[in-house]
Amino acid sequence: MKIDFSAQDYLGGQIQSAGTWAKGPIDLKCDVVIVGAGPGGLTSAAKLSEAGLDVIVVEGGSYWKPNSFTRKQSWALEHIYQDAGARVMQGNAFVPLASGRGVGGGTLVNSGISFRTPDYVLDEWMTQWGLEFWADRDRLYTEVEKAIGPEPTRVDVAGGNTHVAIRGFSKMPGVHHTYMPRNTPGCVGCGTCQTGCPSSGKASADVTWLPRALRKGTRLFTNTLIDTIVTKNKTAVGVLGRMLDPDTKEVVATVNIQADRVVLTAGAINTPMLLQRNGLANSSGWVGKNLHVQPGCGAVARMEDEVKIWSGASQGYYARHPEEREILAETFSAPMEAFFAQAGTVGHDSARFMKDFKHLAACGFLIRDGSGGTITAGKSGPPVIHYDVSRDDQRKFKMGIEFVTEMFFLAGSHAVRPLVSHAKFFTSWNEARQFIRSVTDIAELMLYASHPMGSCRMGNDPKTSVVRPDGRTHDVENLYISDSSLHPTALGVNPQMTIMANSIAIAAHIAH
Amino acid sequence: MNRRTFLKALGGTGAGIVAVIGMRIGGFWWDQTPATTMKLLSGHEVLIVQAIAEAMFPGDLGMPAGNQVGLPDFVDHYLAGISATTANLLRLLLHAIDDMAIFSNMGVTRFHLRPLEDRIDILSAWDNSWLGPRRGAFTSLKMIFGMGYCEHPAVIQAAGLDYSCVGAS
Repeated sequence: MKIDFSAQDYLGGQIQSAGTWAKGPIDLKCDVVIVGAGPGGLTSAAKLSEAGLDVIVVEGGSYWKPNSFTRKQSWALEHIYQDAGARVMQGNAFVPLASGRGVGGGTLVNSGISFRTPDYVLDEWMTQWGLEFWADRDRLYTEVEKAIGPEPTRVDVAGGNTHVAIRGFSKMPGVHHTYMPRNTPGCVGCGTCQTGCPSSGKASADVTWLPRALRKGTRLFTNTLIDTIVTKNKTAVGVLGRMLDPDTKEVVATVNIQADRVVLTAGAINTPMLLQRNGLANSSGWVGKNLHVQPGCGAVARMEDEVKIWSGASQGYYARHPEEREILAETFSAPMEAFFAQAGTVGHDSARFMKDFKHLAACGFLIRDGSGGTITAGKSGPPVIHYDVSRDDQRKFKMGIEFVTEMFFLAGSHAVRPLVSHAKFFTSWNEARQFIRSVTDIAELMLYASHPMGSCRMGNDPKTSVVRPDGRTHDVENLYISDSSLHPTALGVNPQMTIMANSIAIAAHIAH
Repeated sequence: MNRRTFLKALGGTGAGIVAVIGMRIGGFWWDQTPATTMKLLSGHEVLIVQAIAEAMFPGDLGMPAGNQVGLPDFVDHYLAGISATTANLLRLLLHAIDDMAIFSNMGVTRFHLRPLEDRIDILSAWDNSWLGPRRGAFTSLKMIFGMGYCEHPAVIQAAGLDYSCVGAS
């Protein structure tokens, strides 16, 4: 597939930002207003505008032209992450939660990993939650794949970190492992997807679904925060908000958009926050509850040869745990500071860590969590996110850490460090395994999480879910949700394809 | 992270820290004027940042020292760009590191006035604390300082990193 960079041609026209908008209130009418320009929002915009509806999308973050991104993590956190990358979940562990921000949302900062959700999960959604449309999963996923073009990571861009993983996993009997499917047709292996693709080689939503939507007349207002969902007689009729200067935070324009339908696609943290602050759609009491994420951990290893982890696909290879299907190992790269924060030592040893960085390899894993969290919005500012790691998930974490740690020893490393506090670079697998098995406190694990989901669960029972199986909220007519908040459970794989497939199904309901 | 959680994170380290935070919230640091050329950090906070930077990255093996790569400017810029709530909590953490040093090793001296080896020991104690929230809060700071340090061209060069893309022609 070919990446479509034409959206930039609409800047100042159908795409307006704080920098392009001629001063004055934004006062408009349309068929559908979509709040959030991530994978759910832009897929919805494309499908609804192609169905002939007049669509307006509003997005809190900015629109970024091709070649806007560099390797700088600090720049990325400030500009293309929610809450400037400072989002944290509190509970029985301290877990940073990363989510993208801007036109493209999470697809700006993901590694392009493109899995279909396993059948056993979707079957459960059908039988337990009444999501019958997933019977049509092959058609939905095929349409997504045609739009974003996932392919197995090419060998020429896989990089040294992938080769280490191939060596290790190949020596583990019964382990399925292969090149990662990613929607990165222009990848040249810069190893820094999480800062935005510096080579513009990723088929993120802003260069796939967005141009399709713009060609059919969709209008997009960036730097625009929505505060109020306007309702009349329990029916959504529009939104109110503000366009803000992204630097000064001053109000550039007030926003009043009247619409026949309001679609929330602000993600699994911001969507329930908006509902909570508006006191809407919560007769079930489930808005902001049932938060699932993809929590992960991993290990790093010093290899004898140079790995140059920054040179090669960020996440080029994966492996499934042979005994636990809810553990998925994925290689990863990150900037040196991220490794230093997790595995480096302050003081004199910091220099050794950095001098050895070119020899460092890394492999993480994520689990399909059974734990649940909650999101509580205050009147303003970031939400409070509570998340406790369940005992069963703790078991999966320890299995996962053992899995990737052993892999590195089999790959030939003589210095492997599980991402556990107070661990060291172990020189033997037995010693490392003994240490991992001695860990009893989940807070000792250096966890991270991404892909929040489930906080406005979809289902056919209004007592236990927020959204009906056609995307409408149970409580408010013409108010839809079409993002990862809908997922009734965790997926066990990276979610972008499932979010998009969900949005295609919901858009069909709205259009007809 | 809200203030209550953050205070909880720092809890368990004794009444001293609670007293220090109470004193700080009481108005001593909260409204200090930013230092010249800084958006947020006060002159006192600049001294703390410099002291942490040098202790975190003393500059061995030909690597630049942390206080040679402009970390106060970086930290100031970063904190000014995030939510005020989070920035204030991180500033509070800077003060906590500085003031809690009074209670460590019978030193009765603030962190930024301690000799380098003392400061390294103190930071190591934060880094390896058995209190998960305290360790987590410090990891956040380590990440911020790490970004400022590792993104500096002199550091990249000294570490021998050639930030290239494997498939770029």
